[in-house]
Amino acid sequence: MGIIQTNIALYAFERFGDAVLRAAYSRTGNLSEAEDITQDVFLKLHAHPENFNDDEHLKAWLLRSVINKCINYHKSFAKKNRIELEDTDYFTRTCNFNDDDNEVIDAVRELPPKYAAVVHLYYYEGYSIKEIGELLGKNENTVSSILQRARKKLKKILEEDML
Amino acid sequence: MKNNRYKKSMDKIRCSEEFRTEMTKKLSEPIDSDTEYADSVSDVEYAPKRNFIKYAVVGAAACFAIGGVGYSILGGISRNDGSDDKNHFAANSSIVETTGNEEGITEIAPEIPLEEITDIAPEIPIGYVEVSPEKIALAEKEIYPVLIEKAIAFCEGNITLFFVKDGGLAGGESDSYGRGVIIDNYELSSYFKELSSIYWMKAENEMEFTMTANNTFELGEVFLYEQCVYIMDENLHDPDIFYPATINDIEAYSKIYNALRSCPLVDDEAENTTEDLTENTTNAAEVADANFPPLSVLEELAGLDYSPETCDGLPEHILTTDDGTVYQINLTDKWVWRNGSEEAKLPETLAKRIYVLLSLDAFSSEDIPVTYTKPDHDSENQDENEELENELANKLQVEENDLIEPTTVTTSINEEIEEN
Repeated sequence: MGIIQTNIALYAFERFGDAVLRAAYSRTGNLSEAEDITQDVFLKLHAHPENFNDDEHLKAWLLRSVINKCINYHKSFAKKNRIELEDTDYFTRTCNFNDDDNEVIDAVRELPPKYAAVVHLYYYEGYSIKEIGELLGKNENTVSSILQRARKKLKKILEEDML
Repeated sequence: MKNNRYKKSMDKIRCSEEFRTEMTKKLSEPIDSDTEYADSVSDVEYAPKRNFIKYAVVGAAACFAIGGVGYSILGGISRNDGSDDKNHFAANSSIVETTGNEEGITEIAPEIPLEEITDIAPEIPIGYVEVSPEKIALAEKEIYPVLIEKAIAFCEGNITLFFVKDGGLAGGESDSYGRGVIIDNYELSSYFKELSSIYWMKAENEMEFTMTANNTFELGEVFLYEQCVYIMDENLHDPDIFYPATINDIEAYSKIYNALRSCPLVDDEAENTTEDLTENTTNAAEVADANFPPLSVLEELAGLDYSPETCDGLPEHILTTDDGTVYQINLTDKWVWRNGSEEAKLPETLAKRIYVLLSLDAFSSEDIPVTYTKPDHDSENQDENEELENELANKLQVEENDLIEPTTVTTSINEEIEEN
């Protein structure tokens, strides 16, 4: 049994568009970049439709794709030449962010991208370490180690912010 | 951070209506198989294929790790805050500019103005490559055109310099000034003295490394990638940046190397990389061997001009060859004693080679007809230490007996206070 959809990309976007955007954001720390990457992921699926067993399969594929895209984007010419814009105001306006949210988001933004991705998958998407390992193609120990370091870093960042 | 805070905040991030409408429209359009999806994505321009960067990075990094560490540990590199050498650097170097294409050095350009060099130089970490001419050619050909971000490759006899550029790595990009430079025939030693002794290079994000024994290291995540050890510096806030071990990490380097040398790579692509890149070298020991073959080191040791022993130094390393010759080596003062009766001054180049080989544990290989031992100076002094300990224990016992009761002291102090 697979997902039967005439337009799998549109279905995926409606179902997981926000999740992909969040994952992209967790990796890039920039909402407009995250939107670009999200768009790219769904357009790719639109151009090359794939078969998925179920929604979870689809979601895992999307998350894996978005993380890969983030890696490419991170190294791309576009990223290098993009003028970095402060996203905080944008968040405040468009996402109803308060100071608390900004603090958390800023802390995550300060994390190295790879850490942020693991934190996001673990804390937001609720994947287990084993599942994250499978999703990212990494050893469980690696994921565990990254998560541990990410926690320490977050703690440090948030403590510094409190001072 | 509390988990629910993160979730709560992330929940607020949603696709804007504008974005949602635009995406729905795009995804509702029929698929045009002739149109590559990426073309329709604004702002996302992928870096060109550049696997050669990976090859070059790994190749050069191996040279950094092997040659640089050995050289610098032995005093080749130190910090110097003066700026005179920088001026010398700019003024005396002939500079060749390229256009950043993959053809290599294409034209000779005027010198970069002195101000520009001096503005940047203090921030540039450097590395030293002690390599064969073939590897120099590799560095020039492969690294140079792509201008690895935040990396400088030094080659014997000439210097390949890549200026720092913020942002990600893209194939074929230029440096901050839109160009790359190669500086020939510069005095390496004077330049080393004034720049950081940390070498690092950017590696591809996709590089997958086997992590098995690295969780205990405090220097950051450590990986063995073929002939190099890369250390992930968390302080850089970018875990995708790896660089070879620094001179300060030499102990960790050898420890890591020993722990991980047998680890297989997990990435097929990485394995292919290895085949392409390292026809002659497959691991750190072989790289070391290629540069400083252990056997040639033994031959050089045997060929030194020995004289009857007069020096009182302590050996730091002992090498015993299969024919029974014992070489006691002191790398700090650069002396070698043969069979405990003769001594010779250790040439600096030979000392460097021995140091690198020891760091890589190369003498432990079964193929090498030599046994390495670490002198046990502690056991020699064991009896003496025991005597001292007994003496100290007796003394403490006596002092304990002589101690005044604390309550007596308190009482007398209180009495004095009352009197006053």
